[in-house]
Amino acid sequence: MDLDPQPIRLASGLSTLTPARIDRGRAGARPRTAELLLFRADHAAARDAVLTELPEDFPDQLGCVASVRTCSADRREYLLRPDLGRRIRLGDEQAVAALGKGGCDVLVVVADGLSSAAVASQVPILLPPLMVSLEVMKPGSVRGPVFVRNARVGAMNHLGDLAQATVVVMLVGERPGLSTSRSLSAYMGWMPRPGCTDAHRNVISNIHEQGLAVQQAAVVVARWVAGMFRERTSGTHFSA
Amino acid sequence: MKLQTTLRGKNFAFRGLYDLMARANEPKAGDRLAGLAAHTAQERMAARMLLSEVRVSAFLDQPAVEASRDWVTSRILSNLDPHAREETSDWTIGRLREKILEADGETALRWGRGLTSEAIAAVARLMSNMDLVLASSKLRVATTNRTTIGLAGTFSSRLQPNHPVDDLAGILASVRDGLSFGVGDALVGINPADDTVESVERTMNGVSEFVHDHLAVPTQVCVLAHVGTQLKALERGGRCDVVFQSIAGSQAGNESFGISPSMLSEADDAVRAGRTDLGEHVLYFETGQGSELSSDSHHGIDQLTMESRCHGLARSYSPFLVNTVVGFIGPEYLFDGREVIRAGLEDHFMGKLHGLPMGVDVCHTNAMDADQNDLENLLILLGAAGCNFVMGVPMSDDVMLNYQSTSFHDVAALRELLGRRPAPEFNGWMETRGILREGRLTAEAGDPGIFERPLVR
Repeated sequence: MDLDPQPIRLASGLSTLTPARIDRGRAGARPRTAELLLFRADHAAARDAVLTELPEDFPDQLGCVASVRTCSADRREYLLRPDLGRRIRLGDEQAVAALGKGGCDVLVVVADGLSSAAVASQVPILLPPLMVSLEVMKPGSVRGPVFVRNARVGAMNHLGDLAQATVVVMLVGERPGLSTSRSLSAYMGWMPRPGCTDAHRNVISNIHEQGLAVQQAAVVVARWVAGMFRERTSGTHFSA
Repeated sequence: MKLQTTLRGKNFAFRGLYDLMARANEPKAGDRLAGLAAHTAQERMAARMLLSEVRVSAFLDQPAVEASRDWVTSRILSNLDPHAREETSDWTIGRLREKILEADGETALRWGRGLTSEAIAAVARLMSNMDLVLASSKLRVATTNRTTIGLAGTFSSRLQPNHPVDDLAGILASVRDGLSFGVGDALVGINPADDTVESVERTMNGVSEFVHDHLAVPTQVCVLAHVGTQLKALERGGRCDVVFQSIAGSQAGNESFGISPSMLSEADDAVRAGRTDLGEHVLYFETGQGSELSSDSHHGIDQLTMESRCHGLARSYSPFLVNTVVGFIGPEYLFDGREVIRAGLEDHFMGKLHGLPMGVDVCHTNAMDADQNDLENLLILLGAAGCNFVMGVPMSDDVMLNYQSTSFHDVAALRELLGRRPAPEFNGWMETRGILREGRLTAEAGDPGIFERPLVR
């Protein structure tokens, strides 16, 4: 069998069908230089999102009423010990408890999670309309936002317990992928207390420029919270 | 059994066989997280020296989890070859290491059939990285479905064309790209974003029609949903050549995956039903250090031993492919490139000594302190170790699972570097399609558009 000696290299158009990095050519058996550098730049953004801490004045600029830390001392310990990232450190417990004085229907939490870049880019836009919607829903009984450094999603339980909150909304940076390092999730739970798991929570994920738009996310989160107050529950069995 | 020793004037004492095992391990974040790891480098070496004097038979007498409360243990014990068990039981673990390094591959594989998973996990931790590579390179395990993988001189790959919403045209675009690099001789295997029966069946059939009916590629198709979902899809008329399931090293771990021993046997029967075109092997298992700790089903046992028990369970089903997904789990189990490389070499060696057709998903997430250079290092080491297959992901970036694995380019580069070919049936197809000539990629290779053009005779 003889093969076409001069194949016409058609622009396949296949790369429009998937976000996967296909039809990128090759240099021998290795990637083209520009593709290799682009790939490593995406990874660099993801690593920086994981390792960079938000600046000290970030909570103030965001208008947070409190800024606390978990038991994780730094990013390395945060990555190695998920259990420590689920507990507010002893010295900060009182500050969270104080937020709940006089009743707390909704506690709004901002957590860095695995991507400070997601929090820095999405939360300043998402937070103002969300706070307004929640305040309309539960006038005078929305607390926060409280900022938590080096926090895992499971910190919701400790925070909910300390503030005796009925609903906790946690905006948290997702583990960065290569396509975006700026994707945010909103976790919501009815009566989150120690022992609650993902099964007790609901989540809106993929909040970023190419995913769920931030403005729309504020509306969706408020709708879920309203549903939780209506049905007095949350979790995998529940849909708003 | 001696559990106490003095090393350079310092006393070290251990609480029992599995305390000794855990502390003898190379450093791993998951063992530290579980509170099982050695506290100092010297304690680790003291444990390793004592472990080298433990007899193989000690692990027969004392499995990591009692057989009476764990069907993984009972399956491991009941599958041992009695003659091979007799042959090895009096050796110490230190002697076992030397015997394996001295022996030819067939002899070592025969001994492997008589070793419990715990004994295999013990000898692995006495081995250096080069020990693991050299020993593994002798252990050839070939399996057959539509293609035969694991033959000497070959290096195979699973094409992993995942799409964030399982869009069939998008999946097939990645399939075209991978095939054009000669990737996919072990499997075209899709991780579904939507785990419903309808969606899984749609992907199974869409990919099978393209790969088998349209392009006549000699390979296997599989959609990596839960085994129960795949069985339902098969009942409804779904097409696949291989059934997949993640497995764990304890009964409790497998229960958290929602599987029982009979489900895996049923899967084996279901995929064969009415088929005459399949070889002897139809199951695909995935494992990976740390999964038992993450589901709190590790029974206080270190992650290397639990991983080896996964292999013991897999062995009792004679699978077509076993894949250790080495760096997906996260930095709290494997922190950095060094730990990932070590775990990949250990898992591959342990699987091969169990007689398994071992592949490795050489991978990391972005939370881990690792990068593409770490993955390429491990890939080359595994190539030298005779690993059966690795993943092929477009430019390493899995856009559905959000992690990085090895790429189509990496598979082609490793074959060029080590002079390896794809599985023979697939190699023939590549030559017919004009992608490969005399073991080298042609000018057309790497162009996903070639499958739209007719072959010119």
